[in-house]
Amino acid sequence: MSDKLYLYPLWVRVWHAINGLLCFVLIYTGYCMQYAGGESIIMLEFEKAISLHNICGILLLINYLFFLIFNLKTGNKRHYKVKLKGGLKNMYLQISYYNKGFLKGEEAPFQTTTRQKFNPLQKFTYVSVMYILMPLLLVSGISLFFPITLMEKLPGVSSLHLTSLIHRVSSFSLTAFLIIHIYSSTLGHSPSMHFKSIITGWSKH
Amino acid sequence: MNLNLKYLVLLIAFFLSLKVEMGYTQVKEKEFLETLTSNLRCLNCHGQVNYSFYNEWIEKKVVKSMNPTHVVDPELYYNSHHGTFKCLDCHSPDYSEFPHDKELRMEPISNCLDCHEGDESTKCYNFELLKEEHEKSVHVQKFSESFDCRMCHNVHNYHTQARKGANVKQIIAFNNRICLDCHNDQTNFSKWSQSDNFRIADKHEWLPNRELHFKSVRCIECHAENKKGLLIGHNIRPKEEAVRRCEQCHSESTMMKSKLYKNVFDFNRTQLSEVPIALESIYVIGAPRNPYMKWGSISLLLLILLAITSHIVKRIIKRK
Repeated sequence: MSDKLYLYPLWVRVWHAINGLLCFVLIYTGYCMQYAGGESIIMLEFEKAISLHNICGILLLINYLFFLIFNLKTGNKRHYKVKLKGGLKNMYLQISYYNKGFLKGEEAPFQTTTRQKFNPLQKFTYVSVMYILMPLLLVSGISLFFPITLMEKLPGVSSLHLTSLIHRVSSFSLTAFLIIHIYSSTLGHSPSMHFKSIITGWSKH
Repeated sequence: MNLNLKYLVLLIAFFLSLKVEMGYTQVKEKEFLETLTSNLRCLNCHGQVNYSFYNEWIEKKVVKSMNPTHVVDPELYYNSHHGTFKCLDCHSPDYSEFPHDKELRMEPISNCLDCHEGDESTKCYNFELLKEEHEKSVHVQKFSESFDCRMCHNVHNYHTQARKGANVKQIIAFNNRICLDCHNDQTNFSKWSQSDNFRIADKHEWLPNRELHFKSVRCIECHAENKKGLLIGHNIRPKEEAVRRCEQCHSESTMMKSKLYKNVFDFNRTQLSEVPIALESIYVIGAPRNPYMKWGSISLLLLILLAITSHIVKRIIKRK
């Protein structure tokens, strides 16, 4: 018996769409900035890449604040509460399911409900991304936007270098997450199930 | 003017506490003391902002302000490349008389090549090539040879800044001060041009993060043509020929490698991308690139794609 569950309110879907689009543009422009000087036709000019990266960075910050506020004010915040007890074991179960159980057509170890729309692996990943990775990325990005305000040096280290390193590592991590996130969205009853549900808000389970 | 013994003692004590890099290693102590003594007569006035002398006409001691362009800082002088020279080695011996003959202001001043042309000890700086390049520069093209070395370089405190291991920020600040002394100062600028459009900031409005660029690169990086055989390019090009393409610096083949970085880093020993971030104050987006980070991230992404591909293949097989 399949249930139709309303998992994604409008604000979540709008935020998610904007976030995804901005992340794509930021990754592309970040790549163009980092690997400038080549003759490739797919690469933007350095100056244009910088301008676009700056604009999208600010929009991403606004979008993130929008997420934080709405997450706090609505019931959506409960989906981001991580239970540490048994967390590792549950994540392992989910990974095993993706690796083997899903391929055998077995039942998922953690069922999706309106109260628990994320499985333990998703919850851990999304909490890490939204509450650790994104703040690191945004704070380092904004700092690089105003480089003069950065301290010349932290003890023994150039602060500009360190901020840039944090920004590059967190943006790379986000890129890796994005690739895995897009693929794992195909791991539903049908490959398009999760894509339809993030557009319509409804999910069949 | 009387020689003041107190000043002599003070100066010798001062010398002993100075780190005299160039002069002392080359000249015997006795000769250097002779230089100090000889120069004391000049520096008694010219080493100070205000100087005093006995005016025999009015029979009074008089205190006057020294012309700022005639002030020579003794510490800077003795630490400069020319610190072993007596003042009268370059200036007319008639200056030993005070008051100075007014005709002496017409004295022709030596230029760098008067001493350095054909000089084996300074061969590495290639002064002849420097002169050739300088003569091609926009300053000489506009103002003829009257715009000579002394317009940018003060012989009384000249010391090579850009050298291996030096502080990059200090090199940049020092070099840029030379340009900004005219190009951001109306008094000096007006000696050469009637234009009031001299403000550097206004002329660089197009440059993003302008202030950070000014602190991070020398003017000559974008405005001077490099020449093989010279440490620093002296062919300052017109503003129309200045570097405008961001990628010329912001790329792996950054032109900074053939300019500022060439002076500071030993490329035979250290690849720019391997310089630990803890030690290096240079940061340029897009250059240098750390090869470990680059290949590490590519490998990780390929690993992820491999895992996803194998999962897709398994899914396809299972569906059969």
